[in-house]
Amino acid sequence: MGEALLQIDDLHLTMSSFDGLAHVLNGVSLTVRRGEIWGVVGESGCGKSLTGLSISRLVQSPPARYPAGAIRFEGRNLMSLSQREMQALRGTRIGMIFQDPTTNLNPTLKIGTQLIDVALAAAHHDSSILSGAKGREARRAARALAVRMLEQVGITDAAARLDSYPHEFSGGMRQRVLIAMALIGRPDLLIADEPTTALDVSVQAQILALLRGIVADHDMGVILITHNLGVVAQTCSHVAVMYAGNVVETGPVAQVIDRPAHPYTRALMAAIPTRETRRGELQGLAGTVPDLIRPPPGCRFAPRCNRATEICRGQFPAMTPTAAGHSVACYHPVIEREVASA
Amino acid sequence: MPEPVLEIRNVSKTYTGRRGLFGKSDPVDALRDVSLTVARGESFGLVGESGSGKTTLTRSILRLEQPSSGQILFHGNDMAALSPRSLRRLRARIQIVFQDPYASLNPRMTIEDIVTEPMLIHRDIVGLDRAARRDRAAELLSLVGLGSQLLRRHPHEFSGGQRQRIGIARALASGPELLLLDEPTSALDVSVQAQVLNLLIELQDRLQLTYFFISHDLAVVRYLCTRVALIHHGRIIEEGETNRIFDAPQTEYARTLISAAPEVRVPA
Repeated sequence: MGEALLQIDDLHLTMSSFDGLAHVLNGVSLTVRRGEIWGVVGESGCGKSLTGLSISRLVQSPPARYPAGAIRFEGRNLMSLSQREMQALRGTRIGMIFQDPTTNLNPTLKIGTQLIDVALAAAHHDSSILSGAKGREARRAARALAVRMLEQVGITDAAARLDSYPHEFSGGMRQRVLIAMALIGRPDLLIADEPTTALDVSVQAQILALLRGIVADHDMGVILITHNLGVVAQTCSHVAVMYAGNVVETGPVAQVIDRPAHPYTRALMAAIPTRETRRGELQGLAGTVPDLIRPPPGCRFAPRCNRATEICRGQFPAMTPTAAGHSVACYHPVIEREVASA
Repeated sequence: MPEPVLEIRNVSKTYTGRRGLFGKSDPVDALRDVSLTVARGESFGLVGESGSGKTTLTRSILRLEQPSSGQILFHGNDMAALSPRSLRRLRARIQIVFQDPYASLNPRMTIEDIVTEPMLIHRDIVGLDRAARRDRAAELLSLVGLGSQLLRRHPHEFSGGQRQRIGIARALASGPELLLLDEPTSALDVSVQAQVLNLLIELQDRLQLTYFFISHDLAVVRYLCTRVALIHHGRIIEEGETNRIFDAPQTEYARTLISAAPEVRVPA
């Protein structure tokens, strides 16, 4: 196990709104090492996207405030960096991919221009990206790099494609371009926020395979933010399940999915229809997500949880290791009898 | 086989190329010789990726789109041959639930207005006066699992799942027998999706509805539908019983699509 690439420690985030202060992140902790693909999964409003945006410091403050917590990237606390220092990290050390490949490319500029601009900006902070080339040389090197990157993400005839505009590309191709753009500065950490949600399943499968390949080649760490547990199962090495601003269960994907210990993780999984689900037998989750301005005391899932007792309504449960080799924040985790030992 | 409610016979739709600033664009064959039959009381699933022709077919059934060739029959009557008056009467019997519950409810209308509007439009068929319409709206809301005290509220006061329930209540207001469900859960979280899917099943059993369910989510289609058709580039690639299609797909395309869909197995 290598050094931690990213370490989020007890991160709290509040947002001031018209109705009051919303406690959006309530002590999120997460550690990502090189070679790991972390799936951060949860339903709308659970704070998964804001966790990702907080890492690249793209949450506007105000309205956001960070009352507590630290985000360490290779040991440096990102919370104490200036805008300028952060800008140098974004694109070169931390790359991001967002959900909608259509709105994240400039429709009036050629694909090549956009890729080259990113390469030149990255080289401004780390000249080794274009092997120290300057001026006209740098532009030529950036163009060559753009071609190589497009080839790497599986776009054929890449050199000619540089002169295409985004509208000439399909959704899957655009997402490939965005991945190429995020990787051009050779980041060590890639944050992908719902990168395949807007795509068809067959294209999704290709993009996820591409991501896995890239992680293996570049020895990066990845945070894949998604609402789709199927995507996590297919792609990630680790998973963090979030609910209402808290990480409630973390660990290697196989352990968490085979033996989910948190009642919320189980409920989330039971809500997905599978081959075996009979008509009418799908289990929805009763109740609604809590109001983050007046969250329930203690465990935020307690009001919807059928295992909740008095203790759950007192204090938020700490993360504790389970027998299955992962961690769960629950006073009454579901412990399955060991089938293997029987 | 029970009596067919909807028959689609050799329907094709070509969008002719448009002459624009940058020259003439090529014609697009959105539907190519599509034939399908939906029987009374069944849930028929239409599965396809973006650009496959799902929406064009749905719009053609609603007669929002004129097929280039072929016929669409509702209870054996060719919809293209109907007079405007009979077509309007028929529309009370075919209703649609839209994909995006945030875009499909008018934010300036109350829930009562939204749910009673179809009764107003089809008042010659529904035949209810103002008070009876309000009672019916309250009844529909409780049918979809919402309290009737919510009638005076506006859409922004509801969550996505609740909005989709309102959309379903509206679709049921004119007393339809065929519901077109255009990706009704794809904008919802999985836990909410599960609630809405179960509601749809419950409503179908109670009201003997026929569903034409459009989706790109294979897991959802497998859960809800008894028969499935796969559409690709405007052509029906494969059609049959849901279990047969999923367990023994006959075509290469069906195999690719089914294997590409990620699945999570729930531990017993």
